[in-house]
Amino acid sequence: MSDATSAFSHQRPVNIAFGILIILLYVFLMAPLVMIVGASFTGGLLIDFPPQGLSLKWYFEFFERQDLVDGLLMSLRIGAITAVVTMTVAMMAALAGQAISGRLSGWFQLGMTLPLLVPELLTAVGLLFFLYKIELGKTVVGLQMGHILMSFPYAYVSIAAAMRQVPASLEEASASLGATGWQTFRLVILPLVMPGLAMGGIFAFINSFDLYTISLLLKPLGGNTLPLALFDFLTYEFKPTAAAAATLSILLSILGVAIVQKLVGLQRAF
Amino acid sequence: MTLSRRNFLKTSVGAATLGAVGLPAFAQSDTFIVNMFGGRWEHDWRQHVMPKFAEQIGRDFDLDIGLGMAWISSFRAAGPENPPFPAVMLNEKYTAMIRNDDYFAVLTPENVPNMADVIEPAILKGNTAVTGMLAPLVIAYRTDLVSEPPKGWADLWDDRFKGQLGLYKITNSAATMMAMWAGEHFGSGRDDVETAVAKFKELSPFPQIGYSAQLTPLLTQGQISVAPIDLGEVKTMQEQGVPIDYVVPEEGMLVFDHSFSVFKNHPDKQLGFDYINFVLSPEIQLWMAENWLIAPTNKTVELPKELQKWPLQPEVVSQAIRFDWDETLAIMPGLNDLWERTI
Repeated sequence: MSDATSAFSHQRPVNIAFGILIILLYVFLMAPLVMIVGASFTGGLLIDFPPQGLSLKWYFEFFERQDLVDGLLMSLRIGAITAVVTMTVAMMAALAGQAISGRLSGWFQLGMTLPLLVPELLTAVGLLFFLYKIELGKTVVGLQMGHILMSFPYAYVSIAAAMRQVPASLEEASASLGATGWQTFRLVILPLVMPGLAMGGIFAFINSFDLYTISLLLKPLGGNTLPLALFDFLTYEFKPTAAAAATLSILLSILGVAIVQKLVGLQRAF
Repeated sequence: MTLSRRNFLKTSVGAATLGAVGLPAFAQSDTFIVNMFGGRWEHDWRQHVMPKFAEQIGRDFDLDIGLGMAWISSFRAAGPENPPFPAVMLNEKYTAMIRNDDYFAVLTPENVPNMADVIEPAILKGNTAVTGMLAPLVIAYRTDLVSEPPKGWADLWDDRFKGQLGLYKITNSAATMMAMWAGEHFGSGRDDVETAVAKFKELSPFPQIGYSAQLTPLLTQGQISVAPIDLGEVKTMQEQGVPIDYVVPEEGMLVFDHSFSVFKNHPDKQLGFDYINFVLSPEIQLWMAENWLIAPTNKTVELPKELQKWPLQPEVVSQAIRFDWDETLAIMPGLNDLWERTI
């Protein structure tokens, strides 16, 4: 037996083991989604998997529940604004990060991701007291600020990574051809970082859509986000309507990713 | 510009985003806001109860939905001088947390006329709160799985129920009340947390559930056959055809006191008094009894014949085991810690 054949035969069990591991990992990741989507189509009265019969009645009930629909609309509204604002601010921060060099650059990167390093509950409590001090406690603006703060690092990391892929020589070439700073940004940098920018926006939106603790403490009077409305719902009514709502949330996330794919190409975002 | 598929998609996304964003409701100064639990509580309160009060005061209304600890955090952040809304409904456990911090106005029959008609146990410490929603906690059991039903709380320790029980997490006030009852019944007093926790350890393993509605699926599916639970959940299960019944424990039932208070420093304080008066009115108390099996605390409510079979009568709920939540809050940290480490 040749050395190459021997190496292949030794490699094969390892490859199979890794293959099984990957499959198990996917099962681990996908199983909750499959169960919740399956449970949303149950014909029974309880969240159950496998579903007892098939029915769309829990989706109809979801759209008849004003509290859940209002929660969905508020989450969409907050998430959309969060995505737009974080994309803009994170883009500016990433540009600034590029301009900083040396040890300061490391501290700058760390500072931009601080909201991820501090426990969300502590950030939420601190923000709650701060917002009351500036008379924005329990307002939509206060909640929006909290979501932007917590989602910013996701957008920043994505955009900063895209920025690092842009060769500095392109900026120099643009400048040497007479382009202004704004023209260089708009015509050279922005198209190149667009996939990272879009991905950052999607991350920010999805993160905002999922935030629970910060929303619990900062939510405006009379308003609820979908995760809060769902938790309130499950606290008092353990019905598959919640599974229908969760499935719609999953579909929204998939839709977001599909839009990125259509607009800028998902493969360019990573 | 040519209308390419990509441009069309971009335009659609932009339009959808603008539509979703809308104009945020930054100012809600003229809207009367009070709090309420979520789920069916919110749904029913919004649909059937609040519109009547809104009509009475001639203002729009909204509900702040949530749970006790989040509300308390908010009130503490706001401070007693700047409460977020005029009247508040809380489980008595949470009311007690801020009762002594000068948040609440004193409730009297002069500012809340229906207070004159409520049962005595519903008027809470220092007249700072009144129980407007009193939810009886009984022992439910599956009639097809239990041959000899329990008679009282102490029967939960009978061997025949071993492995068939579902109980609340210690973070739920029902578990706190049961632990204090166990400390008193089996030990030296309500503050005998060591005995209480040791007795509950004897019942383990058992599922520990955060809220009543999460016990319901376990009973419905027969994963457990006996559990302390809100009376309203029993009715819901019976209406769904689940073979279930309940007993009022012979030692006395426990109750969830959902108490109502007025923030003394809110500009709409008078509307807060009016709101509590409205909640205590015979009409609303009867509505809650008929729809949620909430026991009326207003003595003048006449329960219709179909409700007579439930333990909602003033003389029955007045006999419920009650707790001083100031004392309970002092015991709770030690109790919760020991419970979490032991069970």
